[in-house]
Amino acid sequence: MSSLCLQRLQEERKKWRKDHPYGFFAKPTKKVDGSMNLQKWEAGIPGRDGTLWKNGLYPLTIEYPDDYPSKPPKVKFPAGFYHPNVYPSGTICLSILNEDQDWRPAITLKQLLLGVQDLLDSPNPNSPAQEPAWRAFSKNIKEYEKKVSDQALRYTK
Amino acid sequence: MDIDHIVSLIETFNNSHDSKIINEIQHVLQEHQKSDHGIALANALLAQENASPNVMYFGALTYTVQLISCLHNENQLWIIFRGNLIHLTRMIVRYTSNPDGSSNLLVAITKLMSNLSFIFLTVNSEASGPDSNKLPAWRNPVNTCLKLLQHCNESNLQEWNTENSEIFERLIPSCLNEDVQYAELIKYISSSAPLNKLLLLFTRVIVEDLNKFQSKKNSLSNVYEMVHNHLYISTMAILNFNLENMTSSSTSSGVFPTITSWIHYISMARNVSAHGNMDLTEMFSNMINIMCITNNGSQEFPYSEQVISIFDDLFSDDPTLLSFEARAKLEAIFLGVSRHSVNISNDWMMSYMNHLVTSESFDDLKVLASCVVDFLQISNLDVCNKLFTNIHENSGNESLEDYIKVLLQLTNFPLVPILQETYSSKMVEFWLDLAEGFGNLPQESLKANASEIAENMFNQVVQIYLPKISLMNKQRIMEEDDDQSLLHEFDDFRSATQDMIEILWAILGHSKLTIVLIRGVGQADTNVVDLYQVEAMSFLLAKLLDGVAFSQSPFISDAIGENKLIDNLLFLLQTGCKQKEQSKTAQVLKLDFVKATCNLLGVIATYFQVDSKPLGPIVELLFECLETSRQYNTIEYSIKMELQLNKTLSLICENCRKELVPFLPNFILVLRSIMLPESPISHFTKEKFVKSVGNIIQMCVSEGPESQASHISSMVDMIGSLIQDSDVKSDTLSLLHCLSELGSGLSQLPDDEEFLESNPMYVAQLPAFQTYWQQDPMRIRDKVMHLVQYALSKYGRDPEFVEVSCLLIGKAISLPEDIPHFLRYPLTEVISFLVTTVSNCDYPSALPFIEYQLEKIVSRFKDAMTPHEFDEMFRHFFIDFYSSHISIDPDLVQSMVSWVNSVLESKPSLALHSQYWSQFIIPEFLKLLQAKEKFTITSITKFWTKILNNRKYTQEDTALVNSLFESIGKQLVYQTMFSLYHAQRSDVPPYAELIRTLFAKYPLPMKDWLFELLPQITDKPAIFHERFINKLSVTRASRATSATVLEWWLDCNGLPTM
Repeated sequence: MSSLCLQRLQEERKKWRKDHPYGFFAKPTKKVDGSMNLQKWEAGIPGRDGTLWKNGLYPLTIEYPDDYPSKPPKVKFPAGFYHPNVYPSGTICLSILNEDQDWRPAITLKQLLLGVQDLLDSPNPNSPAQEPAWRAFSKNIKEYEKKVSDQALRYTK
Repeated sequence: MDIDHIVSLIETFNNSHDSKIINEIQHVLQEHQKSDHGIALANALLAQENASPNVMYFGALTYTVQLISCLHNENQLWIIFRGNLIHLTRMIVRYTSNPDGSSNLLVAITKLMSNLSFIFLTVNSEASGPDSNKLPAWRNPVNTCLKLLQHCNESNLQEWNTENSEIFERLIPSCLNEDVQYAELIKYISSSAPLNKLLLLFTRVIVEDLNKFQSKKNSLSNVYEMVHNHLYISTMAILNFNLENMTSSSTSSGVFPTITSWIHYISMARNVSAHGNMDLTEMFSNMINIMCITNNGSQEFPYSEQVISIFDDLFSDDPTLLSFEARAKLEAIFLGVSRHSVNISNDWMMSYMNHLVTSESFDDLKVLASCVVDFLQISNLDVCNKLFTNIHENSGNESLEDYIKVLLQLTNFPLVPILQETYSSKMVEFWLDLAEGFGNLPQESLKANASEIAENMFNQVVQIYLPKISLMNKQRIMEEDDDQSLLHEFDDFRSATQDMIEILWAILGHSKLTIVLIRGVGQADTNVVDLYQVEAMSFLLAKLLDGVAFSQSPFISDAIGENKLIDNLLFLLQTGCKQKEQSKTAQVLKLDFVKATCNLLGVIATYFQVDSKPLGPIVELLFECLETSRQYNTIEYSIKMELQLNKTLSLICENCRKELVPFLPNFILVLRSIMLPESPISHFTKEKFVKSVGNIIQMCVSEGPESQASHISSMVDMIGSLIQDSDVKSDTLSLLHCLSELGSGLSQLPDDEEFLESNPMYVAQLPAFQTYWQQDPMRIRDKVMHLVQYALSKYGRDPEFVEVSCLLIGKAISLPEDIPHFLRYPLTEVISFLVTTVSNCDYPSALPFIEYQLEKIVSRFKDAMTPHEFDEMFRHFFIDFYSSHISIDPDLVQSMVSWVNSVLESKPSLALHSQYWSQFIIPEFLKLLQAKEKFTITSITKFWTKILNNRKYTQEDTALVNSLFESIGKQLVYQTMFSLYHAQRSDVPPYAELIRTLFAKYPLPMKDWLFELLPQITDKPAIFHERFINKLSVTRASRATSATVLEWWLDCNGLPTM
């Protein structure tokens, strides 16, 4: 990990601890020896009130590459997560997480997680990443809503 | 230009409520502002003696428009520059002579100052440096202003206008960079409070604008230098004079905002320019002095809050602006102890805190806490080094001990956290950093007793935080304030404390932390138990015990067993679920009790493998709560509790399935009760409960398969009779899900080797169970199939029923062969079920679920399958529906292609030797390359890529595919390029991947085909295609091919390339 990457991740951790949106959590994981792994974080995003997602706290992993912040982190839900813009592996398809699209080194962890929270209830049908949720969202909204609500129960807060 | 008309328009614009009128007037006025007579208009409006504030502001704004949008040459700038100075001077004279009666001038004055700040920035920026033939540098707007005021005061105000060439052409140029001596400056501001106020405003406007424009301009180096050499000196003189002569809070009103703006400016400038560094020592020293001023026998603190607020920002943003000496002084003032032998008492601090507490000024106390803790954070590393290492051998240990004592006292501020005090919540960060700092210190630098010091100190920290995070405080917050944000803040405080405890564990270890908390929860007698304390400890313990291998940690397991931890946890759970108190506050707290208990019980689920005795009472209470929580709680909260209880029950059942076997009858009893249609328990909970029961039944192996089968059979019978009695569609659907969950519960094994090793009886019985379930003497499979078909006969058109039925019948397909399962249907039976289902369902909505099962079947039975069986499946599920459904629905096309792809991935020969291969698949799938939907394109290109490149081919398969490409290669390339040409940009990558594979496989013919085919697809010149083909050849089918293809696509579509 470059010193720039390390410095930035320490800064991100500090900033997050000082100021993060309510109900979210994010922290570095631990290595086998008990030391902190700043390049791999675990986080949780609460579904926004007033949406189908509201009952859940959705777990994420965030992996920062060695050349972060030049390159964006890889943000993943658990494999099989039901959402039109989440690949079957759990990887999230979001423009601010894409180096070729809207990623900028100045994007903070807070902005990133708020962006993912926003995506939950505002899927982008033009960037489908998994077929079942995308098809249901586009063609059978009732089925989509049922699946999302069931998923929220599985990830209950 | 009719000034009266414009004045009237301005007044109407500001007073009208009709948006149409406003828009129309705005348009007309903007035209005037941008016109050639804009400057004349500004002058005319600003010159009007009796004009309203709106008109004067509009005049100043017209100058702004001219400056920003209409500036053509230096001469024009010079005219605007002088005009602004003249009008500003005249307005200042008017204002200072009658401040109370002229306060409405302030808006226009501020705007004129802002214009001048823009001009200051423009004329001093590098583009207008001294060497260029442009305006002279402008050193100090404050001095210019004072000089012009001096002249203005000596002349007739009526003559002070832009028409007066003496002023306009001679006086202003001569005054522009004239110096004002310190004494003269002080004379001005001390003789006129309004002028003092305006000068503070002027210097503030300038630095705020500089902050604003910093990000937009790259050439401000000269400006920073000018500020550093001139404006800074005047400003500091004004500020320090004000701070030293502060008489009332009204005189301070302009000082503090100006100080804040200057701190922001210097903080920014010192990072971008050598001239940005400016010393603020005197100002900070004066600020500290006035912070400590008290009146009326320490009853009033006129400036403390404002100064502390400024320091708070400073410490969190750029603390090193404050010199070391000033920081040492502040440390002594704030804490009463100093690490640097500064001998200052903290009497003021004690009085101030006392004042804030007694007057209940909790917001101010919050600012003070934030300021002090941010201040402490600056020296965290230093404290860490001094406390734990030998680096500062000579530093006084006693003062450091006192220092820590004060910090602990601050953390333990005797008020309700969040509601009244925020020291404790802010200090979490400090202790956490200190603990991490200690953990990162090199071993060789540590003092001999460093661990002892750390343990002692952090032990106290834990003891302080336990009552602080108590829900009793949440209760106080809820009782005293409706503000949801305070509750959120308190919850965040608890989470932060939990994180801190996790870090402290690295220092205190299980012996001094985990065990202490376990004893804390467990020692209380249930008759006098403090539930709030139990909750707080359980809340923290859940974090510490997460992931502990209890079988390998007898130390912890014994501590749990020896204490009343479980008893008190259950008491907490019982109180949470079963106390009939339904006020909002009670419900929130009760849910927190339930959450804390459920969470901890879930975390220690594997402990019950070590000691299963508590399982009985735990399970019993969980059942009881599940069944009765609705009697004691509102619907909203009982649903939330139910989810928590269910989650814990699932975890315990999953981890302790063997240990729970003796309790199976109780489980089934409860299950029978909650499964009744009139039970208020949610479908979700019922389904998960059935799965938990399945987990336990799986371990009923000691009495042989018959015993297990009888349990399963009775479960299936119970669910079956409910299905047959149910007239409610959603209930029937949930019951099918229950059957499916029963199957899942019996398919799951904890995935570690340890489980198999420690359950030899289970492993030994596996063959007997396999034989049993092959024969299925109780015909349970038939029962399930019958129930599924019964449900489908009623609701088979509903895709949700098809989905769950497919999942149920296909439950065991993917399980390893050696795991016995009551739902392991023979292949023929599964296929037959799917064939029946597909002919009775709503095909378009059900196909994805059926296709998923077909994929699993091919993957599982590929070795036994023949091309004939492939043909049968392909015909039944796809060909028979092709013209009526699939061909008109891209989603169905995608399902069909996906299945063929899965066959190509498992055993390609099944497809290659199918009768449909050349008759249907090849010709149709060629056409499908022109699909328009993303997933269909992805599937179809994947199909062709898999055909070209497949490791599972036999020799025979390879020969077949090679001969295929001899005949259709060119056609495939044409279809691919044609489809690519007409695709959307986001669909280019899958085509590019196919082209890359084609090039890798057939490099030479590919080139020829492209040369021949591309002109037929687009009318671009031959050279264009040649370049593309050559590039493709150079990339040699590497990943760079994608970029080349995308570039070609962009060129073809007339879009800019990257």
